[in-house]
Amino acid sequence: MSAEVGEQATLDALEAAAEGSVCLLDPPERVAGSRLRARVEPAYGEALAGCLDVLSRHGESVLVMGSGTRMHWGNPARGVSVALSSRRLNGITEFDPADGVIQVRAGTPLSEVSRRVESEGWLLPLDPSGAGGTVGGALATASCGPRQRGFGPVRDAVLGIDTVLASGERTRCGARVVKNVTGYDLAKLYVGSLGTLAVIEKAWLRLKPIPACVHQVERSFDAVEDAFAQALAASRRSSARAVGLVAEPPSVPGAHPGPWRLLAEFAGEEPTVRADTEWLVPGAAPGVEGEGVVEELRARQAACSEAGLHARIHLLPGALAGVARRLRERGAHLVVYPEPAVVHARFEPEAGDPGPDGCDGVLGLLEEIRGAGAAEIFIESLPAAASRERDVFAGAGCLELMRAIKGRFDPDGILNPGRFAGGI
Amino acid sequence: MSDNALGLDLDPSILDGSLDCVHCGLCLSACPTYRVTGRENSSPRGRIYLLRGVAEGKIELGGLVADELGLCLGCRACETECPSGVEYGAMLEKGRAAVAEAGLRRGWGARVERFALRWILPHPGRLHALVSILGLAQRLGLDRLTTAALPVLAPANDLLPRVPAAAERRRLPAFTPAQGERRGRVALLEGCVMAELFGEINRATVRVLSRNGFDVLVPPEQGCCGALHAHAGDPSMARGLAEKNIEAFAMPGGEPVDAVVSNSAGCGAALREVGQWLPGRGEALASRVRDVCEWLDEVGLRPPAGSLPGRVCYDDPCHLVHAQGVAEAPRRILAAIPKLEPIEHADAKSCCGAAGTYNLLQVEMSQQVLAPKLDALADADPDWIASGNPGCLLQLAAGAHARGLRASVVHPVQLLDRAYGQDGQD
Amino acid sequence: MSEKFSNPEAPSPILIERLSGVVGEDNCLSRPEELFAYGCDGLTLDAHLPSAVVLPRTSDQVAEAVAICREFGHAFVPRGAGTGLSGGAVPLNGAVVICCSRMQSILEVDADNRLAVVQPGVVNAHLSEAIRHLGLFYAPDPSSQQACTIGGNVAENSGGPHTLKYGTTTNHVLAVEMVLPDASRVRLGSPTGFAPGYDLVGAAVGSEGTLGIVTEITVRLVEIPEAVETVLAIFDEVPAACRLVGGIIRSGMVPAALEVVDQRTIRAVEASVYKAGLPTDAGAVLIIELDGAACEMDGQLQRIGELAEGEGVREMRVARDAQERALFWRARKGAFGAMGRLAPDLYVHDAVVPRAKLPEVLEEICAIGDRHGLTLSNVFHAGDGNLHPNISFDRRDPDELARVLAAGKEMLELCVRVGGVLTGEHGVGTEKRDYMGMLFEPADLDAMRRLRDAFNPDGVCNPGKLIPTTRACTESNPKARGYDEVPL
Repeated sequence: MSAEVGEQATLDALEAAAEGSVCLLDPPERVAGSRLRARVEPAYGEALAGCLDVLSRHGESVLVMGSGTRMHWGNPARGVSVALSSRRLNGITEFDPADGVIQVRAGTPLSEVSRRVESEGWLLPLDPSGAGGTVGGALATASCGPRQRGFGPVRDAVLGIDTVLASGERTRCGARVVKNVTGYDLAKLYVGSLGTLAVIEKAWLRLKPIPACVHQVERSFDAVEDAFAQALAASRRSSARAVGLVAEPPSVPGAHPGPWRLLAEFAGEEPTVRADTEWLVPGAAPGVEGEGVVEELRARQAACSEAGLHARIHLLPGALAGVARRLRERGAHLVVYPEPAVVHARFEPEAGDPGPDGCDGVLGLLEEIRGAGAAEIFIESLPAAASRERDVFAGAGCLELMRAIKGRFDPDGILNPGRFAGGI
Repeated sequence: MSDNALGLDLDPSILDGSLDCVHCGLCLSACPTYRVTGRENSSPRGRIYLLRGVAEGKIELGGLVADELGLCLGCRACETECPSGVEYGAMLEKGRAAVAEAGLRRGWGARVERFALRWILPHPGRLHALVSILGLAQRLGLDRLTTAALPVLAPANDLLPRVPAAAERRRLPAFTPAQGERRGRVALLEGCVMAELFGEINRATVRVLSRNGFDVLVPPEQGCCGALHAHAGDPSMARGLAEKNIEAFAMPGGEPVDAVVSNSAGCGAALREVGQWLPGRGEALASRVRDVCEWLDEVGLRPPAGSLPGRVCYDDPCHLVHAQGVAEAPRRILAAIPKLEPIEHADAKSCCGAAGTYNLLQVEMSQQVLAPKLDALADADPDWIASGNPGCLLQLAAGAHARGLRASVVHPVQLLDRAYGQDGQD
Repeated sequence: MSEKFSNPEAPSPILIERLSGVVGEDNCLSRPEELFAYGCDGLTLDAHLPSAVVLPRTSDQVAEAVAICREFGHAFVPRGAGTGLSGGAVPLNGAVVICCSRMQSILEVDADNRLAVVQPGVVNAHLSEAIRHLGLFYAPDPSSQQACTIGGNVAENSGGPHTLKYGTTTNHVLAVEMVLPDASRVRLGSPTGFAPGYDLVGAAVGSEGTLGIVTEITVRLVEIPEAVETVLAIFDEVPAACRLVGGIIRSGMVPAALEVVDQRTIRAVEASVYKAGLPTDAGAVLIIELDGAACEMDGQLQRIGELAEGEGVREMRVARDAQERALFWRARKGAFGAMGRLAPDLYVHDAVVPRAKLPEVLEEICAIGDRHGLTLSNVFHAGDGNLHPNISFDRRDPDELARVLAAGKEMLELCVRVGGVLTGEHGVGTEKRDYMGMLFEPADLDAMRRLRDAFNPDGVCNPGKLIPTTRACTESNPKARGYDEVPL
């Protein structure tokens, strides 16, 4: 495996396998801790398979990516100088409006898919954090935004995935139907695997109907208990599609913190949306139309600066208030989803200076929270200085099993080496 | 093992019956013995499969097959669950008959049971005498002496109630006229155990029926229903007893009755099967059999004026809910009593473990089957536990007593009778 | 797959003694007549006698039993209530059955966080009954829910009529404890719904007991909806009912269930203990269940009524109360068993097609049945496109059995041709193992093998299931061997 630079022979072979898809980077580009000399962008499945065949035969590791929206996720890659991007592998291959399913190539921008399906009365239930991004990226990262309450996790939207294995073999799992137990559910394994098991070529997705009515409301709370009780109750209303609490850290440590703002979006049949809106903010029905609330939550969730630290903490709903209060006191900007219970805690240098030392303090606190039970933590971004020696998959269990799986799917470890939990 | 003469002797209808089973397994969790052991062989599907194996000559009738058939409570909860309509109860009885015929039933219990079923139960005089002796023994404290000497009798002794005074054990009048506007005439199956140990319930039944406008006839020629004999694998005895009852209930008092009413679920279920025991001769009787609650519900209960403040848990006798399909009528009857609050407990429809003579022969399993029901009853904490079968009443009363529950165990008609104000004291 | 663990004819008495030592003699069955009932599950066509049956009560006992089996080079098969329909619990080559039916404790119910922790032998319906007073239920509701266990549901990723809205088992399992084939114990997933790393729970659910034995399951609980409405749309013919299904899905409504029952099924059910007063002269009944907020029921009912009019519905019958609704569902869920009335045997098929293709596929399926001279009935989860053509037959007639198998294969080929799959909820097991080649290329199956080998490298856990053993996997089904006698 070449640690430095993709050798010319490899690049030539790649160009031969996927004509016109190799793009040399001079000067090298720094992405995910790697210095990339070249980016390969195959434009169709066979070319993608050809590229992986070349890479595996040459023992060349590769950084698998989509459009690069969330490359700060995961650990830095090891010994990678070539990127394999699915960006040009785009387009909708099949769309069945009568059945509400669609097959899309990995590199297709989410916005393009949404536009297409919305014209037929359907909704793409993928809602990753941040703006932009491709279908392949959303699947590989399993990233969820504010609408997870309404859309469900990414894995629920995926009916089948066509992948190319590290060996260059093209494989398929699942299908276009909405219910299926034919064989192992490999799609679950690929979703969220950060491209470490296989490269996604295209996927069948299940769409949701566009709701008849959508309304958004907002409320503020001073008392943390009220805020969380109300947020959880709002999230359990039958038309809740996005419910989040946002809070800023106290301006000065120890100062009285500002309010907790509860942002909610209700969607569904009109009478229910009206009733739920009225329940949360009496007199507010019918609420506000538009995207404002969800946009704000999504933007805040993805607002971490290069120098900041962003931790995603998964909890049981009952533990949210306590954990959120502690993080806020420690200087975190918070976005909290009550159910499934997720805290996005963002620490920026201007408050509590997360620099290498501050980072240690925050990570220590997170470790404490994890140790207290029923909490799982994923560090979405870490200042570059701190990121080298840490596993952002804090405390992942079953590593032996995961390594065994990795070993079977990618025996030479050429797909995103080092990016995943436990150095996988 | 593959060429088993015993197996080939098995009633051919067992193989036919077993073929109705598509092995879907819906019966499993309905089966009290499966719930305790977790073994397929102790489930209806497993037993059917075993019988089929015997019928096909693949396994022997004795050993496991005899044991598992013996372990079955015969509650027939599986029949309520079975979408294929497998007649499990009938298959069980045939299987048990084959086991008995082949002399494969084991243990002292089986011998005592066989003796009692052949020589005591069918003879009201002998039964009456035996119960009298028992009552005398209880009054003299001899029962405690015998169980001390023979601990094996302890479980039986724990179950037996105090034998009622002689006055309560007298037979019912042959005719009791309807009160108020006359709505018809019914015959009452007196039962052997009911008459001896639950005479009070029998009398309450007569009063309630009469109060509802029915002449009540109690044909003196009637006899034991034969249920216990059929369950224990003695179909010929059961058929003999059925003949007698067909005769007795055909024209009591010289004309046909609107219904033959039973207040014992086990007896009622057996009478309903007389049509299958004696095709051609038995259907007329079978079709007229009604449980007392079912009958009152069917004809329309005359609502009681008096009230009965308190809470009652109704517990379904298997031979009412599963064998006769009567579940709602007793609940509606109880709900009609002013101020009485019926509360459902979590385990109402599963077997209490009494199952005829089962609680005497399979003591340990019987207690394990009863335990979850007592838990549920303890949670519900009612004033009364109501159930319509003598075996269940004994089992529930003994269990409730042992568990220290405050509830008293009664027949639904007793509560109704009280509400009618004929029996003021609680 | 390694064939290292092919089992000897009779198990070693020492193996039995050691297993008895773990679970007690009463809970280790090894006499042939005791093993008889464990030869098959709900799929009776292909029965095989196990060497022994072990009935553990705790996770420790499962792990110990697995360790002993390994030590003796003996394969093992997990089993729940044995209600599966694809032969997943069938012990091939005399494997030891590790039966979880005694592991029936509900270990924890956390109503605030809406989750429960159960042992694998807890009966599906018992969990929902136990939490009803908290206003919660466990959503996956396979038709066998009165008897099937949650452990078995996890193995098969069981669905049920309400999958349409609530998803299948995989959408409701947060975490599991598993005894791996090497006898070690691992916890996969997290009660929070997210565990850093690969989605191992997602991989384990639906793995048909080939990756290990699940010994503890953390499930998500769902709030009982405020209102439920159940409507029967009665049609003269099945395609019209299917067209209504398409119309409802297209309309944007998401009913809790959309189930079609055809005439033959209606008649069988109406003759059974599950009779619900369905009209026996109707060609098809579509059961539509809506649930959610009370305030939206009327509007949806009205829209569905209008759509149904458009498809020429004969009658719409709304369940008057919870009791009548329960009656409808008992009828629907008992339909499979009720077929036992039509003939001694029943082959319940399970395949999925794109929902929009339902009318044409059903017509073709009926034609296949007719061509083979078979008694065919249909009862299916129309909202998911999940078909259950049921063939009633008598397996003692070898010619009829051959026709049943041939027709079954043709139906699967048809479903695959229109973009469908081999099974929507029953699993592959032994039943469809050798049909996997219809749907998958060798490389696809090889990818599945990679997953299995990561968990179960030497094939000791439930061997011979799910993945064809050879690459030439389009051979005919092993059940075509003819009338299969009950084992012994």
